[in-house]
Amino acid sequence: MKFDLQIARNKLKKITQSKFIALEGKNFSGRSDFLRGVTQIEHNSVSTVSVDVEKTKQTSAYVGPEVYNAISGLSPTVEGEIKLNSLGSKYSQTVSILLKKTGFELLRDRNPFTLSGGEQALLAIISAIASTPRFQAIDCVFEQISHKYVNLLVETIKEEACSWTTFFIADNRLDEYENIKSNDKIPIQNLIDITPISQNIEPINPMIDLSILYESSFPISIRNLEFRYAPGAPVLRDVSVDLYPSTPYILVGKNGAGKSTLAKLLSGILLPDSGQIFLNGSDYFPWKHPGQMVGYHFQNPDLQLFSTTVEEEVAAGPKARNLPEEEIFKRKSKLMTTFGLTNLAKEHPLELPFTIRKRVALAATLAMGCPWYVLDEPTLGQDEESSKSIIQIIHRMIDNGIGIVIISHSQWLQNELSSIILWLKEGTLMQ
Amino acid sequence: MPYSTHISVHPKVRGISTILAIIGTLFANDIIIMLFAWLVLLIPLFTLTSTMRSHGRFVIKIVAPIFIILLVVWGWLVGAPPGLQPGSSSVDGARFAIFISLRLILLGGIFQLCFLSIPYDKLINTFRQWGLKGNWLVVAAGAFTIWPELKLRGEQILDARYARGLTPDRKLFSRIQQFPFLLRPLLTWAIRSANDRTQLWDQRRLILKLGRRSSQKYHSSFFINAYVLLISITWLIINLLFI
Repeated sequence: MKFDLQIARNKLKKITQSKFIALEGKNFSGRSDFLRGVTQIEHNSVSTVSVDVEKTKQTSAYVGPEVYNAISGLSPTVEGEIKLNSLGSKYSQTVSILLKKTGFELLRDRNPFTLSGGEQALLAIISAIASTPRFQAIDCVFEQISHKYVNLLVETIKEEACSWTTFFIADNRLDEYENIKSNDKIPIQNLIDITPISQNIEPINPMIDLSILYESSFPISIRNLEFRYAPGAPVLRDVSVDLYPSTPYILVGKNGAGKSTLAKLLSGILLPDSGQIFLNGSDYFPWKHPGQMVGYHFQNPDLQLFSTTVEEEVAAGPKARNLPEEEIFKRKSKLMTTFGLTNLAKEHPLELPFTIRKRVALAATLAMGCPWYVLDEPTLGQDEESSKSIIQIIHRMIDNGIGIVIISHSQWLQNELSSIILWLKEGTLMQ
Repeated sequence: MPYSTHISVHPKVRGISTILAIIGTLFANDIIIMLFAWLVLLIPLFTLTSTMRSHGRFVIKIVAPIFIILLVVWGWLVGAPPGLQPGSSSVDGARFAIFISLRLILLGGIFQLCFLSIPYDKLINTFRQWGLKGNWLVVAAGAFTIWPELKLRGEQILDARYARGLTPDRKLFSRIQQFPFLLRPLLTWAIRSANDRTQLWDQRRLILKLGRRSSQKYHSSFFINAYVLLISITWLIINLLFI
């Protein structure tokens, strides 16, 4: 990606007066490159702003979708992470308030890497604010945080309390956050002139026939499920619910509520402390056959991907099921075409952009052909067009009798699927 | 978030006491005195510093298997300690196994007490007081976070393999079989993380902050410092007297 420096300079001069800029744009429109340039992650995409930062030796902060890499790794506790970033901070008071309002005071002794995805996202943003950067970029991170906290963060950073910093936000759900107003939004095209992207990235094609993957599904009943990670308060307690295929469910709850934990229990990754799961009325022990009946798509694709090429990644699940080579090939081809990955078959999954990694992870999950799926933020990092395509794929799966539970903070997704909401609050589930 | 008011051992006292205690242990050759030191001096300190669980794990998971092997080899198979005629004294062979195990417990325990009892908010300051600066300070600080993170990342890769049905069950043997498959993703992750983190440190001037933070005044109690120093000096003198 190349910027026309002169045009960028002129345009940036106009906008740097503003302290809060929400960038509108599709995937691969140059938003992330712009943010990385502004915050000096990539010196090749130089902008006037980054040059200014360099000259004045001021700090900048980029928090990208891989939120765990926006945590310093120099402090074994949440408290230590905040303190390290806060040294010499102009925003100590603001950070204290944010920590209190987001409940981080209760997590102060936790290792930052043991927090849930959403909690890590919050910590990454708050610690970046604490470092008092001249420019802070928040790239597809709000999507990982509950709307309540996003609105709190936006309200706080737009106040005078954070007036030293210019915030740049790139997010695919800008319309869903009430505190981001229309006059905060600037189309990315207004800021940079971009030469066309050379990468061979195709759009998602929801029209491909995936019936080869559909297996007849059946109801799941969960009774009195309880789970705790360590001695102490349980993350989930007395969770009971009946789930039926052909009905979309959305699991909601604040960050750290235990949504991913419930998903991991259903797919057999974790073993519950007590409780039962029934499949079609019969006792079922997912932990004895992990990943066989309930496929789990992780929120963070980097935690899910482990192969060295995209095609190996997509084929890993079917291979583990000892399916015939021909069947594996069919599944792989169909899903790679569906998710626009054909030209990337030989690429290393972790070298691809976040948006594409998320698609690879989704394709790899669906390749398993399970009767049930738990999809954790399936549209994370995807623009409106891609998200709509993913919803179409999900709709077709539901229509074909597959059981689906989606974990998402997106209001838009909840409306699109007209689903039953399962609300996880303080470890218990409410419908 | 309020700053911790925890009063602890001064880093210099901590360092000197550790060195004295290690020298004392290397001179120790009386099983009864070593046992006494472990039970009467070290165990209460582990309890006071809430690190007893870690020490317990060290004794059970590392020292106990070594002790059993030593006992079988020197107490039963060889039937004598090293340097004596095989079969000449099984009791002395067993004593040798106990001696080595106790020395391991004491040395390991002293290191555990030295490092694990440092309050998290005093960790960087302690390293700085020990003379570590700049990149070395970053390495030392990172060493305390890298293992939990690496372990967690390993677990996450295992989870990903479970989710895709690549691990047949959750039994220990199945988990061990997965170990070779963890190496490549772990290496890729480590390189990516290292790259991203160094950029982050650079952006936010965190190394500079780390140095500044660690030069803050260190609060410690005179009596605790004197007590720790006294124990280590006493331990050294006792062992020198019993050489």
